[in-house]
This record gives sequence, C-alpha cells and structure tokens, in this order.
Amino acid sequence: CKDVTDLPETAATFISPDKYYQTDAQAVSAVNGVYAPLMGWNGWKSPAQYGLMCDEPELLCWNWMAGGFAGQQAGQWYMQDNSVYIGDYQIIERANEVLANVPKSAGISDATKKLSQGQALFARGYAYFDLVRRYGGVPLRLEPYQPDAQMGALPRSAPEVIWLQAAKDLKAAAPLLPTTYSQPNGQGLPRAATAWGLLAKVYLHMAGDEATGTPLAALKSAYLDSARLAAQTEMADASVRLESNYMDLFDINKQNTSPEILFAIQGAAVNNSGSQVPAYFGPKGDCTVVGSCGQGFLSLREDFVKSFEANDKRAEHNKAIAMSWEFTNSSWGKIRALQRDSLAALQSAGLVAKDSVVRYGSWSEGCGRFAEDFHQLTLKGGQPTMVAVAPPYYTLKYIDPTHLSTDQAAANNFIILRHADVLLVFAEAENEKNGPTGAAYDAINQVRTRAGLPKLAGLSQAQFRQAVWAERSHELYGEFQSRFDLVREGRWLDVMNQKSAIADYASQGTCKPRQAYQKLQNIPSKELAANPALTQNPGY
Amino acid sequence: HAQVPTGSIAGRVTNATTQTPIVGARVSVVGTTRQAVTREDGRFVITAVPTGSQRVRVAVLGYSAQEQPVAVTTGGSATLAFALQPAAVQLSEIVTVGYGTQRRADLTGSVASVATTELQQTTVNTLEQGLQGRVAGVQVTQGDAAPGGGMRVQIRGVNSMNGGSAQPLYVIDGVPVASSGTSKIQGGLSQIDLRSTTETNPLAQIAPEDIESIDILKDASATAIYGSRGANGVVLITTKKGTRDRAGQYTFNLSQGVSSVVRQIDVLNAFDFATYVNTAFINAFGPQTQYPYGGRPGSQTPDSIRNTLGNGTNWQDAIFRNAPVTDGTLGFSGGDDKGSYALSGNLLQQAGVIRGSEFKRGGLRLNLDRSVSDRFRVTPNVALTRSVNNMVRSSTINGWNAIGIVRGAVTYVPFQFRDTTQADPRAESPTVLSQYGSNPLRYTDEVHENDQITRGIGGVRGVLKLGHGFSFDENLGANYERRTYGAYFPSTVNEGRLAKGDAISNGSEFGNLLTESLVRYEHEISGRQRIDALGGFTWQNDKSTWQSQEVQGFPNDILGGNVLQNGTQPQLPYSGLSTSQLASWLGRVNYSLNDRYLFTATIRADGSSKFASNNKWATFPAFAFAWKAIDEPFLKHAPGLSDLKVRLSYGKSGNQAIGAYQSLPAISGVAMTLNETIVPAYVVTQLGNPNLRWETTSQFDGGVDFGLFDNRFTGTVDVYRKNTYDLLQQITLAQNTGFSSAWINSGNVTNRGVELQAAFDVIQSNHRGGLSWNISANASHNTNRIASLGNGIKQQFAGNLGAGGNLEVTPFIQKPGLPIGAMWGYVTDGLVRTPQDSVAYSKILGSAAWVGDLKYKDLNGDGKINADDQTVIGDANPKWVYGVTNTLRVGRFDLSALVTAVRGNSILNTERMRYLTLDGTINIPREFYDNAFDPKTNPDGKYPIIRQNRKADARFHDLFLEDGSYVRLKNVQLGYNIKLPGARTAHAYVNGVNLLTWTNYTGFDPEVSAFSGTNRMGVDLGSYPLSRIVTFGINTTF
Repeated sequence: CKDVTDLPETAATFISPDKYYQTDAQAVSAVNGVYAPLMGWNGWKSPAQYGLMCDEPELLCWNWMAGGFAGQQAGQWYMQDNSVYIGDYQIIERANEVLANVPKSAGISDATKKLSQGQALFARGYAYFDLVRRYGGVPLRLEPYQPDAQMGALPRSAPEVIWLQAAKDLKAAAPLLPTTYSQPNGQGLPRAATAWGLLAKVYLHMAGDEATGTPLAALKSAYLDSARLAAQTEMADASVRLESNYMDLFDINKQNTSPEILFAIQGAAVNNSGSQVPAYFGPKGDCTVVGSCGQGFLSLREDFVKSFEANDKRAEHNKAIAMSWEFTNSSWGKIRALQRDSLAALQSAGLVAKDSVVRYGSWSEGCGRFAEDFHQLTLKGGQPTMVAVAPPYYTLKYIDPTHLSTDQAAANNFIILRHADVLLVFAEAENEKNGPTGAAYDAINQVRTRAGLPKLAGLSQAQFRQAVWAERSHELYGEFQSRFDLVREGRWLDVMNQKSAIADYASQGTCKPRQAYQKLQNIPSKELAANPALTQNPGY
Repeated sequence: HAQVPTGSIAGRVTNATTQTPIVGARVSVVGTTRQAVTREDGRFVITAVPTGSQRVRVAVLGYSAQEQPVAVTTGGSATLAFALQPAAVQLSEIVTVGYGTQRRADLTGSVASVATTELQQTTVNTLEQGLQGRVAGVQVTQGDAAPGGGMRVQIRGVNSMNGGSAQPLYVIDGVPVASSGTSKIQGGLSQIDLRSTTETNPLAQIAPEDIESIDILKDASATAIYGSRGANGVVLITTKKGTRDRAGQYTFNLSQGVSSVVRQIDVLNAFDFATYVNTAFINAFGPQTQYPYGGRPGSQTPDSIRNTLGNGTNWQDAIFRNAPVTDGTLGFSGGDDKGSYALSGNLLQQAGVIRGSEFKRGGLRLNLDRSVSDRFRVTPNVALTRSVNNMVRSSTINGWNAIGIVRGAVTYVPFQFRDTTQADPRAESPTVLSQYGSNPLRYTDEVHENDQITRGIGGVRGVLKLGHGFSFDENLGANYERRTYGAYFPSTVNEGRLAKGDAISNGSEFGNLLTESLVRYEHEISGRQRIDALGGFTWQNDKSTWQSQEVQGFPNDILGGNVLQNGTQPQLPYSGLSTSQLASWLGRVNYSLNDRYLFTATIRADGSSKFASNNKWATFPAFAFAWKAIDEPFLKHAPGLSDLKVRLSYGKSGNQAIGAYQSLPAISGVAMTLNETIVPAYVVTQLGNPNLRWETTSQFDGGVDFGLFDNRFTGTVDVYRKNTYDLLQQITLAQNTGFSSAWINSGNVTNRGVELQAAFDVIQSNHRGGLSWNISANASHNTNRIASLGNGIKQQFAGNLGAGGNLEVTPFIQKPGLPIGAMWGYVTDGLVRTPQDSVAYSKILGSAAWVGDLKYKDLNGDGKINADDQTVIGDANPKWVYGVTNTLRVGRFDLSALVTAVRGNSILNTERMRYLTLDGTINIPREFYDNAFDPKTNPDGKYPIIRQNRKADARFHDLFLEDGSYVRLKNVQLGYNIKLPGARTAHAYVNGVNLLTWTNYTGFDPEVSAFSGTNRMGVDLGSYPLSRIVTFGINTTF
C-alpha cells in the first residue's frame, strides 16, 4: 500500500550514484570515464578538432573546414559548436566526481585511491591547459556540479588562475602516478613522466606570449626554470626514450608500446571507437589505407614540404609523406591521377600534348597560400585522354592498413605528448633561460639525429630559438601542436598572414586574413546561450 | 381559481433512421408551460395539459424539431409517437464524458462529438482522418501521407515546447491508450542516415468502422477528470456495441479504390539540366572553362544528350504509381432483453503511391453486455489488431545524399549514366554515385523497412446496483502492444554501401494494466434538484521493454536482413526497460437546479511514479456552471429562439510528458577504449531533479450553445484562455557543468482562442425522400504566445532540422512574446544586380558579394549584416482552421462534401534551401531555373544567379518559407440506397478524397509536418506526398 502512495521509482537501466564508487573495479571504470570524452564527438572523433587543424601553417585544408578564418560561412558550423570546450568540461566534471567520491569510499583500496586520484588530477590539469590555450580565462570548477538555480552559469576566472590550476593539478598528479603500467595501455592513461612532461609544457606557455598582460609575465624567468626542471625530471625517467625510427611512432602496431609516447588519445579498430580524422588526412579517393576511404581534406602545403632539409626522414618520400592519389570526385568522372614524378616522366617522354594548371572549383581554401591546383593534361594519342595531377602532399602519420571498410574504426592514436616534444621544450626553455648550453644542444640534437640530420652547433641564442621553433614544426607537423606553438611564440598572426604567392587568389577578395582577436577561439554558442555570466572573447 | 380541466399526453420519441429511442428530448405543449423530457426508453408523459386541441413540439439537439397536433380530453391520456429525422450534424444526445455519460443538454463543459454517420460519409482509414475538419478547435495535420502514416492531432493550440508529444490522451472504451507507442528508432544506430522521419501511427490500428462515436473533451471542466494527462485534451472513443432486444443482424461493408499522387513538381528535363550545369560552370569560371557537358572527348553536350536520351528520366514518374486500396468489414450484432453482443472483423489493404509502400491491417473485436441479474451487469470486450507497414524512406533528416526518396526523385540527375561495365542495369556510374547517390528506384525496390504492430485491448466492466441511487462500477482493463521493426539497407545505397549491407532489427513490447473502482450516486430531490456524483480510485501499471540490433557486413544482399548472423559485423546491441505507475483518486458532482442551473465540480489527484520524489502527487480541480436560458420563462417565447445555453468553466489539468526515470540521477556506461580494447567506463550521465513535476494548464472557457427556428440553425461559440506553466523543458545547462541538459519545470505559455461551430438545415424535407440540404461548419482561431521561458532565459532555439548539408540550422526560436513555432532568420532584400551594388553591399556584408547574390536587410541599420539582423520571418501556427460539410439528400441519393481549410501558417520548405544554391549540383524545379538572375538574359530574375562555386550560405532566410494556407475539397461522397433483396439496408457510394486543393505552396502538399514534436512544426523535408483516392463501396446490413 505504501507503494501506492509513495510511488517509488527504481531505474532498471542505470545505476544510482549512491550505489557506486564501492569497489576498486568501479574506481577504475570511473577513471576510464574521465578519459572517454577525448575520443568522443567533443574530442578527437571530429569535428571538434577541425578548427585547430585548419589553423596551422603546415596544413592545407578545404574551404568548408576553414573555420571562418577564411571568411567562409560554410566553415562556421563547427566553430559555433567548437565543442572541445564541452569535452574538456566533461573531463573536468568526471575528474571532480572521482576526486570527490573515490577517496572517501570504504571499499576501495589505498593503492587504487592513489592511482585514481593521480589519473583524475592529470586529466583535469590537461583539460584546463587545453581550455586556457584555446579560450583564455574560463570558469573554474573543482567540485562535482550540483544542480543549482543558475543552471550552471559561472563567470570566467582570470587566465592566470587557469594556468596555475593546470600546473597545480599536474604537479599533484606526478607523485601519485606510476612509472609504468604493468599492462600496456596504449599510453591512454598517464604515467609519472607524462605528468612531468606536460607540466614542463604548461610552464613554457606560462613563460610565453600568452602570459603577456597577466601577472604571470613578471615571473617569466621562474617559469622558464620550472619548465626546464620539469622537463629534466621527465628526461631522467628510465621508462622514456626516443623511438629509433620516426615513423614507428605512427605505426598502429607499435604505438601502444612505444617508450616515446607519453600520452595519446585512443583509437581502436572497433566500429565507432575510432576517429574520422584519419580519413580526413587520408589521401583522397584512396580506400586501401584508411577506413571509409581517404577524403584528402587535410594535406601538407607544398612550401612546408620544401622547407625540410635534405634527407630528413620525417619527410621521406612514400614513407612519411606521399603525393597525390587517385582523384575520383570530379564532375568529369573518374580520373586516374599520377604521382608527381610520373608527370615529369610523361613530360620528358613528350607524351603530353597540353598541360594547363587549373584551379579546381571552390575547393581550395580561398587564400592563395592554400590554393589547390590541378594539372589538366591531354596526352598525345591513346588513353587516358584526361589526366589530372593534383599536387597535394599527404602525411602518412594516420594510416591504418588493417581496417579498411567502415567509418570511425581507425586504430590510429593521436599523440598528445611524446618525448621528442619534451626534449624540444627543454631545449627551448634552457636556451631562453641560460642560452644555448650543451644541454640545450644535446636535447635538440637527439631529435635531429633520429631524423637523420647533422647536429647543430655554434648558434646564437636567437638563432637557437629559431632553430627550435623550426624543429618543432618539422618534428610535430600534423600533430595538432603548431597553432599553440605559434601563439606561444608570439608569431601566430605573422606566420598565418604571410603574403600569398599566387596573386590570382588574393584578388578574388574571398581571402580573409587572420586577425589578432582570433588568437583566442570563440566560446561555443551553446555555452554563451546557457551561461549568461560569461562573455564572448572579444572580436567574435 | 377555477380548476382548469386537464388531461395527459404520453408517447415515445425515436430516431427515424435507426428506430432507437431518443433520450433527453424536450417535449412541450405549445403555448403552455407544460413539458417533459424523454427517458432512457424515449418515453415521456406530460400531465395537467389543458383539454382541447393542442400542438406538441419535440426539440432536441441533433434532430430536426417536429410538431404534432393532439386532442386532449379531460382526464384522458392521448398518445403520440415522434420519429425525428437526424440533422446532418448528429450531435448525439448522449455524450461520453470521462468515467461516464451525460445528456448533451446537461453538459457544462466543452465537449465536441463526431458520430459514426459522419465517419461513414467519408472514406477514412484512421480515426484521426475522421476528425479532420469536423470539430472546431481540433487541428489534424497529416505528418506523412504514407499509408498508416502519422497524424498530429492538436486541441486548442500547443501547450508544450519540450519537443515531445502534445497529442491528446486517447481513451478507448474507458481504457487510456498510449498514443506515442514505442519509437522504432530507440537505441543508437550507427549512422544517423538510417533515421527516417517517416512516422507511423499507432492509432492506425483502430478500424474506423468499429467506432460508434468520438467525443472530444476540450475545456478543463471536461478534462480535469483525467488529471495529469488531460492538458492536451482527451479523445474518447466508443466502439460499436450490440443493441438489446434486437435480432441478430449482419453488417458487411466493402470498398475498393485507387489512389494516385496529387501533384508532381515540374523539374528540368535532360537537355535543360545539362545546360543548367554548364551555365553554373561558365558563370563561375568564365566561358573558357572546361564545363561538364562541354563536348570534350568522352563527354556529352546538352544536344547530344537530347538526341540520345530525349527528355531523360523523370524520377517522379518512376517512383509514383496508382495504388489499390481495399477495405472490408463483417460484423454480427444483436441482443435479447438481458444483453447484447457485437462481433466484427475488418481487413484493410492499402498500397502507397510510392512503389514499395503498403499498409495492411486486420482486426477482430468482440463487445458483450449481459445483465446477470437485475442488479448486476457485466460488459466484457476484447479487440485484437495486427498491422504491417511496409515503409519507404520518403524523407530523412540527412542533408547530404541519403536524402530520402521524395527529395531524391526531384533532384536526381535526370539521365542515368549507367555503368555499362556492370551487369546490373541500375548500376550508377561512379560520378553519378558520388554526386547524387543511388538512384531512387533502389530505395523503393531494394531497401526494405517494415513495421509490425500486434495489439490487444480488452477488459471487463461490472456494474452492481446497490440501491438508494448508489451503484458500484469495477473495471479491469489491459492493453498490450508488440512492435517489431526491421530494415535492410543493401550495399547498393549510400546507407549500406560502406557497411556492406546494414540490417536493423528492433523489437518493443508495451503492456498496461488498469483497475478502476468507482461509486456512482444519483438522487432527485422533489423534481427540482438532481444530483449525481462519482467517486473512485484507479491504478495503472505500464511496462515497456525494447531491444535493438544492428548488423553490417553482409556478403550479398540476397537475403536482406532476414538472417542477421550472415552479417560479419554485429554492432553493439541496445536494450532497455521501463515501468511506471499511476495511482489516482477522482470525484465529480453534478448538481442541477430546476433543470436550468447546472453545476459541476471535478477533482482528480494523480500520483505518478514518473514524478520526482518531492512531487509524487498532484491535484487537478475544475468547476463549471451552465445556464439553460431557453427554459427561463422570459425566453421561452423569444421569437425564433429554440435553444440557448450558456456555459462557464475553469479548472486545471496536467501533462506528464516525461519518460520514466527522468528525475533520477544516473550512472551509466559510456564508450571507452584503451590499448585497442573496449574497457568499462561509468560516469554520471544524468543529473537528478528531485523537484521535477508535471506541466499544469489552467483553462477558462466560456461557451454558448444556441438553436434558432426550431433548431434548424444550431451553433456553438466557445472562447478560451489557457495558461500552461511549469513547462517541462530539457534545458541546456551551462556547458562548464560537464552536462549538456537537465529536465526542469520552467516558463509558461498561453493559448487564447475562439471556436465556432454551426449547423444549418438549409432545406428541410417534409416528407420521406424529399430534398434536404444541411450545412455544418466550424472555424477556430488560436493565438499562442510564450509568456516566459523562466530562469531568466531570454531566448532559445529548438534543435537542428537535420544532419549535414543545409539542414544544420536552428530556425525555430523560443522567446517570450513569440509563439512556439516562430521561425527566425534574415530578411532577403532582392539581389545584387550591378557591380556598383556589389561593391557597396560587400562593405555591409563584410565579405564579397558577387553580382547575382542574395542581399539581406540590415534591419538594425548598423551598417553590418550580422546575427542582430535576424527577426521573426514566419510562424508555423495557422491563424484559422476551417471545416465545412454539405450534405444533400433526395430520394435514394445522398451527397456529402467536406471542405477543409487552413490559413495563415508558414511552411519551412527545406527543399528550397537546396534549390536556391543554384550551383548545378542537383536537378531543380523549372521555376528556379526560369527565374534565376542573369545580367544579360534575365536581369529581373528573382532568384540568385546560377553559379557553380557559390559559397554555401549558412544564413537562414525568408525565401525558405512559404505560405501554407490552403483550401481543400477533402472528401466527396455520392451514395445511393439500393433495394437489395434480403438486405435491410444497402448503401452504395463512390467516394473521392483530396480531389482538389487550392494553395500557393510549391512543394508536394502544404499539409506537412516532418517532426512530430511541437517545437519544430511545419517543416517539409520532402514527406510522402498526398494522394487522391477514389473508391467505390457498399455498406449493407442483413
């Protein structure tokens, strides 16, 4: 009869929070949940990362992805969402749940408590680091969200508050995390070196251009030193070393056990567990190397490819970088495309009757520097009569030869932090703090040696700075670091707005140069609509 | 005084057509105050009638009044028999109200009725179709004209904006029936492409032939007895029962007909399409460009295409067909003095006008009635139905190339570039495939979608007379539904190509148990006061379960998805279950003073398990007063006035439109992989809200029922004002909480309106077989307004129209002062027509505007075109909805015609969003081609210039909207009563549905609503087109 008056409701399809956080296994599951948004639609599945990828000087991307920076309305849809913000706060909320519930549980062992806390703190630190780099000061949440009358409305904290929180969380996480895990976990969970390495990077940013105008700027020297020391801690970790072969970092069979990779976002060759991004990087029309066929949306710019030194293994033809593939999506029908080498061969053999470079439709990025041109050939006699040779250079960092048929099933992991990055962070911090010391040279030359390049020596501090920056670009291209590096280095606007080499495009008037305000991304409209306490970043 | 000599008059009033007694007819002696009201058996006695020659008049709503002379002798008793002709609009004298019946004359609330005779005047295959155009304040919109497709029934405007259902509560023979059913798309399908907007209609399982009457409770006085489920109105369906004391009779009805598509869209033929594509390239890249049909080696020209292919393929001709429909029922009913029985079976088979679509339904119904003793009566009933709906993907929410058949048939390339290297004659060339997808015939013939529903509704009601006016009423009811949905997308269409065949198999089961214990009391005090009261308790338990499986990777398409294990890639299965309970106390008192002043008080207390822990119980009271003014002495002789009643009511009812468990906090599993392996990951996925509760609607209603000239003209006028507050909203939380949304109660919405309903016997027959002509008409107007969104929210938007392409827009704004259904966007301002204009306008736009591009108005005059220049550009709510029925009878012929009309609503025609890109990527209606701007050949063209490299414009603007007003000759039926040997009655007819429509709308049909929710009404995503159905039929009784 009490059932009739009280009408209690017990859900059959989910678990009540008061029945959870009671065993070690539940703590592990809760931590797994903290990291889950990274490979979700608000993370690396796409499209949350398009804006980032289209805003790098190394990459050529199609108009529709151009994030509004090129003035394309069509590109604005994901910028309005810009849902990385949402994914980061999901990580923060879930980390806060773990930090609030796991330590007070009676059923969870002390070892698991320590590990869970370290993993949750790292995740929160990572998320705040990501947020502050993209959006500047953002709301700070350190407790699980409890429903309130404001519906979660919360004002921004100052940027330095977020920077300091990121550093604090990573520093707290490092001693709680293990040196290695007994089972390989694909670097999807952090180890101690991961926390030290990311902490080094956070400090380097706090000493960078982003700190301008904040109280952090006054402490630049101290943060450089902290970056140096944190990186040294990572470098001293025996579990960490460079891969001997650069492209092994991107081999899906070797990524999961690589000693160089410190933290990577986990793809899996299971339906709906991977990312669309490999297909975006995949050579256009090629269905043999990536899931759901390559789309060719993201290729490498020709001038970037040409900036590599001779014999740099990171640009090795057909091992690291490949050229054009079959081009099928044309109004002329299926066109067999050729490797650029073959074009030269055809021409030298006198087989080409006519060669005209055409601009294909509206697919290029609009601004001249991102133009996508095609050679339209007519061959003398015989087939094929129409051949187009597209110039794109494709990176082979996101190739999954094992999974070819279905969408979102690529096993490629996205590397967020690896040892080479930390070495370059150290080299940069050391050079800024102490000049080009032997330790600085040693760090950068480890990276160069692996790439098959001669060691650097005898540079001035300024030259060394330029060398580290160039090395970062060559080492980490296509790994989503470039934009943040350029902003930190204070030269994002200059680099992005370099004059177009092809006047034809600039004259169309569709190219809209980057503007200073775009150094910070826009807060997603969903958040602005729901959070009246927040203001948009200026300019948007 | 001197005693006036008197006598008495006794008699009986019956329905001339059915010979059944008429209850509640007022019988009066003209020129005197003497009168009586007929009893349940139709009999009346008037005493103390002055002797002499008198005239006796009978008037009752729904029948033509009648007068007869009679001679009254002192102390004698004269006898009279009245057989009344039903008026064309037969307002039945007994009206079903919640948990009981009432005489129409005694109603205090706003209750509209549709009788079986009205349903018979039309050919309808579902009961909602039968409601269309019949009742003021009830707007019935066909969401999808597919056979068995979904209908939106909306009573007195939209109350809710949570996107869920605002459908009324349906009650069949006293058992509330879930109208929403279980979604066929529950679970997580891997591809959004697989979601079809094709709605199926759970009420399509009820055969209209089984329905005796439909009564619609509109105001709070009537709906409050349904408490937390009454706010959207209540539709009470009474099925046909046997008649006591009547020998068994058979009914046999059969109709057969053909349906055909009403209109096609005039699209470009092969030559014009090729020219259009070339124009797009030339306008973009100049005349020297290599355009697709430029005659290069291996490519064609428009002329060569015309020479070899003629006009090419009109895909609309390919997918549309004339489709047969057959509907039959066979029934047997009758009774003795202790009871009655009715058994009926029905079968409907309706093919759709798009190849591959078909709806089939079969049903059995048994209604029994037995008086076990003088005091105890039982009425068991059971109905079993099964429907099979073979669906086609008429429309989808995909904006890329899995766009659905209807949109595809318009925009698909009009000549098939067959891939001759393949044996399959339908094999598309890779170019066509990549640009246009698979050809529409693959969708009609090779994709299979099938929805099957098996349902049983039944119950036993026992009524025990306790004496002293008390009776006890116990009802046990049950409702069971099993639904299976299966689909297979072969590798020949986009949805199944990458997956190598994609099979989906969903099943759901819904069961509901209901008990009702009611005590009724009737008492009459000294003939001047009557009281009847009802009190009781009901308990309802619902349980539903569902499973969903999807398998991909089939080696071939031969077996479709019949054998799931043939697929090599099973996806994660989904399943779930939910249960809910509803406990209710209810009570109602009707009090009548002098038969002129009627009072009703109603209360219901609902306890629902779905409500949050702090709000388990809700109480919904209502009060009503009615004044039968016609019975006042000072109006009795008012010239021309034959009936007048004034009604006033106020009350509250609720809407518990949330699913189970919405108020509880939840931890659930989410996807996570580590080291290439799926690992368990559990997170908080739902915030609890311990205060979550129902929406409440308070409603004021004022109404007048009147009759003129012996009820030759009758009418009803109602005005109402509804205020719905504590709106259930899935509010968007600030994203920094880590959650996207939470259910809260917030905001309020008002609806104000007026409803007019009238019937007029233009020509009354004064003899059997004479000419009669009756017009009945209704009109309703509703004004919807969001008063507040609560929580300081200034505005919010309903979800995207769809996924991908141009459907990634949110034009539906919700903002105080605007109606739910307001559309928000830019106002276009013609085109950029000159280079000078291009320079000037580019500055305002902030980016390049080329000659031939659209311009937008800078509404705030700040010299910029930006989001601040958006405004309300449309409203999905009609201003007026009308229905007019004409009925003519002469001799053995009868003719009825129903005209429906809707005025003042906007339709969001998503197809215009695609046509207006004018970039040569899809085929387009000729209208857009002919009127596209060209600086030389068509400088006054109203649409943008044709140009291949047009930057897709994400701005939503007014050219995507159209006026949805229409007038439709909805139904015409010409019938003839045949003298058939051995048959009691035989009525043969020819019936036409949707014969003519007058509208300016350019899509297939203005009666369209792709989404069933209230927050995105009036969207045309290329729904299944309307069909014209002509049937021949015969209704007989033996």
